[in-house]
Amino acid sequence: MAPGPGRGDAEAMSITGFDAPAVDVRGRSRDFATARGGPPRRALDDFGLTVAAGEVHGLLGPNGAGKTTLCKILSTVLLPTAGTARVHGLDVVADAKRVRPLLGIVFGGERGLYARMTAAQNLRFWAALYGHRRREGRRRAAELLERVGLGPRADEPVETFSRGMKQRLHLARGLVGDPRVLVLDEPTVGMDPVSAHEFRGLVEDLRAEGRAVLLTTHDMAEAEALCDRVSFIDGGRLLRCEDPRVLGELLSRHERVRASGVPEALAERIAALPGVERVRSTGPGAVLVETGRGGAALPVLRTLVEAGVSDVSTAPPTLEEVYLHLIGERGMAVRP
Amino acid sequence: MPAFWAAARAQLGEFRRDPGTLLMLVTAPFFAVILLSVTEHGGRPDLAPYALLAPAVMTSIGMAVMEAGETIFRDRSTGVLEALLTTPAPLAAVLSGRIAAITAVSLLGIAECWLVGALGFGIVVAVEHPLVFAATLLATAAGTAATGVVMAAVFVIGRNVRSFQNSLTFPLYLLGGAMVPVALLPAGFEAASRLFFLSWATDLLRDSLAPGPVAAFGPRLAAVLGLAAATFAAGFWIAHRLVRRVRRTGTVGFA
Repeated sequence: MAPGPGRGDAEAMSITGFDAPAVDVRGRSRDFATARGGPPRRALDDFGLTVAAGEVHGLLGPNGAGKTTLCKILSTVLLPTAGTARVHGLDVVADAKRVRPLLGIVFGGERGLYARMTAAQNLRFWAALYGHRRREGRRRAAELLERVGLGPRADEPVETFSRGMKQRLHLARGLVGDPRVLVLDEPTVGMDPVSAHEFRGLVEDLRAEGRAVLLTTHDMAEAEALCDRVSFIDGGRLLRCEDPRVLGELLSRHERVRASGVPEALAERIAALPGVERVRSTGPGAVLVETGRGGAALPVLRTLVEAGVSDVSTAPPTLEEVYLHLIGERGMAVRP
Repeated sequence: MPAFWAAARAQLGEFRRDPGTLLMLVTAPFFAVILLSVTEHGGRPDLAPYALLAPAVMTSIGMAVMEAGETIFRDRSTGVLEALLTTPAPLAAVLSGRIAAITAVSLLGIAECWLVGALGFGIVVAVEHPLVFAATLLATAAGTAATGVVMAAVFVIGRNVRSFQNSLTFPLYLLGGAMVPVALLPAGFEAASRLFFLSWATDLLRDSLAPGPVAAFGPRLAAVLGLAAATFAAGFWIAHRLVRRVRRTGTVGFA
């Protein structure tokens, strides 16, 4: 299932510029009015991003960072306040009608499907909205349901599906128009580990087919496994755009150790160990040790075990903690 | 066109899955019983065609308006509306398909009301001018669907659709001459009603049931069709404008 310009006319190829970046966002801003005439809230602030054809690009950020706002602007659901956004050279505002056939959007959560219709009926409906005639819609729905592993459940109502199954159906819906750019807004939320693993395989296939994928996620491991590049976004601003290997380095560099039953004197000893950035009390006798360089967790663990502390665990930093480290190192300020 | 037909099929499926959406077809025969009882016991059997036609027309226009609101309310609260706006299909095409299906089903109300007359009261209202009746009925269905599209388009920006949709039907019944011919309304009402396709349509439908000749059938049918076309055009324009508005305000997904 190779992507095409929709109905395959050469003119569309030349006009839409498939040699242009799949997604090109420049100086994009979006303000939202606030209640009672207060100052507008800026969800995107002078945001810029480029995604090449065939690239899987991760968009990482906490809730309210502006990820979904960007997805909505690209999918033409939301008009931007300033700047430009292009999909294969087409402006998402001025050329919205020509952008839509090129885009597939998968919003996260359980919304966006007809719950009482079967999976197949849903996909046939959405296929028609992308211009597929009835027979072609049937073929395409069956093909996509097989592809996302829902073939055996094709004729069951969506309301009987688990959340993970609905997510898979969302993904099939996003692909029904044979898009060149797929926007996935937290697509693995609710999926079990096996389904999430299969999903990653599917994204790999989409990349191999030359489609661009913009993936928003909170899951650092998912971003690291799937993405060619990742962009950190917070407060509507692009903080950094990195190769995911940098993420891996950050994850290992900033490992954390949790322990309980730690006397105060022992906590002070640990705080003095090389590479330990901070020791925080998280309860009576419980501490969280934050390290700042690779391998620093090992002496912490050794010290704790030698002191007779047995309730010990290690964990990677949360996304927010990585942000704080990133921003601290680069001298950037976090927007409120 | 695939979007139109897919939306129509989806709506027909909705009727099967949720028969509650057909509630107005349940109430139509009861209205027919009430009105026919009044005309019969009031000694005006000549008004029997009016008594049967009124609930049938009210069912049709009522279902179009009520279901138009329900469709938008449902699609908005389930996030489907937001997803619809990301597709190449114009929203108005999807709305037209859905409401065309609703209107087609609502025409069953005519058969129901006629059956009430025949089985309940032994009154068979003959269609004296079947071609006039059929042509007017088709034009009426088109106009009714167009009215539903306008309503659905307006409901795109409203979040309290349900409180409006019920109230909106009554002015339409009045201006459409569903129960009382608009010629009998006060002058101001009649002038306004002539801008609404249904006032021409109900007059023609009543005339098609009467034995006398139907005066100026062509121009009157043209008025129904012209106003229906204008209503469709208004529906598409309003849908386009209001969709742009919710895109600008960022309220598409608000339920």
